[in-house]
Amino acid sequence: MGNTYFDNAATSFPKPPEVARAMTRYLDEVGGPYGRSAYGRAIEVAREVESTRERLAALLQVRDSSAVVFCANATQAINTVLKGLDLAGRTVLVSPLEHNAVMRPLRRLRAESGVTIASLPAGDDGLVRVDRIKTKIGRHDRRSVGLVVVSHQSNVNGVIQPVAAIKKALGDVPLLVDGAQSCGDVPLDVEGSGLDFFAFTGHKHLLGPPGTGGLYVHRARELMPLMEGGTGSRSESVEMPRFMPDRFEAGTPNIVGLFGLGAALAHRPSPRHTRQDFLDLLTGVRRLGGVRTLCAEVPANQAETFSVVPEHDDVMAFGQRLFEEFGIEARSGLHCAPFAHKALQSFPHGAVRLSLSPYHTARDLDELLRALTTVAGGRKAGKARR
Amino acid sequence: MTGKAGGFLLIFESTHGVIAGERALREMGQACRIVPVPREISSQCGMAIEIAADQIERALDEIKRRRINCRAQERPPKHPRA
Repeated sequence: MGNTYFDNAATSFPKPPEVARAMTRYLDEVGGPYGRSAYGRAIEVAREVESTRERLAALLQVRDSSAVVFCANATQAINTVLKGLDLAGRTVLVSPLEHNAVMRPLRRLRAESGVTIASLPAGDDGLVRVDRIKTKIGRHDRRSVGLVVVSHQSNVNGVIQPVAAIKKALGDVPLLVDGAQSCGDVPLDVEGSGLDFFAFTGHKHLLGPPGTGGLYVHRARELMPLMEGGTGSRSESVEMPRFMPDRFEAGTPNIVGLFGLGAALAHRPSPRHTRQDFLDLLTGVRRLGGVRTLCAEVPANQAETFSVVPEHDDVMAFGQRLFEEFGIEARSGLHCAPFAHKALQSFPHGAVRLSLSPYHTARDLDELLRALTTVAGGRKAGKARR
Repeated sequence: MTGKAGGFLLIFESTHGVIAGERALREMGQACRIVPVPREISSQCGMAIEIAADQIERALDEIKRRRINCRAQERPPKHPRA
């Protein structure tokens, strides 16, 4: 049986073998703290952790790596921005495809701080209409818009948002980009695009372990830390340091995870399928009868994640059949993104999501299409082109 | 390590700064060593970089060129060699 794991949007698998080796090396051989002590073992840990930071900065095309702070995950990174900015009484604009990592803290801010949440103009697939942004902001009074939040890549339909163009349209209005799905998958010049904040996780397309992630911070002075605690620096002071990255790195980082993430960044695999293989798969799925496909309207805006909504079957039962009959591992439901499913008209039942990794071969994609065809009832309009 | 005229310590704000400083010096071929910060020195973090006195100007120029915040301080006489 080939690679039947299609839940990489939840967490990626497999990882490069070097990831586990690096983590085991830390646990069995290296040990020691980060940023707390100054003997040989601790110095080695510091070098390795900072090497991971440098690799992330290079990937994001950020010149000053101190602007890349480690977080436990993208959710913590997003919360750092949403709760660290002074948004009381202001408006936050969001794309229609935002994840609960964005919407839940915003809901709390609405209840407690009088934040207004409004949607950016978008097409039926959730792609933000950049040409309408200025008009939208004008309706809210530019000075009252405290933040715009956009998911770079939807975890439901795989739409890739034009974040550089969005930032250009926003001007000096701060933009937080949720890169949880895109980081490691969609190349992005974070600094060159003028993004103010970029949140990412290590355990999806970066192919690192869970418990790692980070935040690029351009506007550090406007942001209060989410947590206060020990940083290993300025220990004589009870105030959090004002310099980066320590200001946003209270507590012991996930050292073993950062060893693994560093190894993942150093050993990225070459894809085992082509872009055309994926587009052929998607074309085949879109032609299937019995399911509606949630994906980008234009292939150029499509990442290798999409969802299917069965028209004559329960979503959970559909996903269960895929697994029991074909071993296809996929997530069924609302994907922690009810806001997105409402926009895509798949709420409240959700969809079955398929998300690829570099480790899928063309044959794996053929097998997936065969499985979907069978479970959808065998009704199809035509064969996918190979 | 101390060279002809004694040693200097480069003091940084953070562990990130120390490692960035070490990388900068190694890339320019400068001998250096990470050492514990002496108790007598009020420091931002627990590590410092020890460097020969006759190399300090060149080292500081490179570190500042890379916009890494640090200051140099002559190693206290009582500081034990690491």
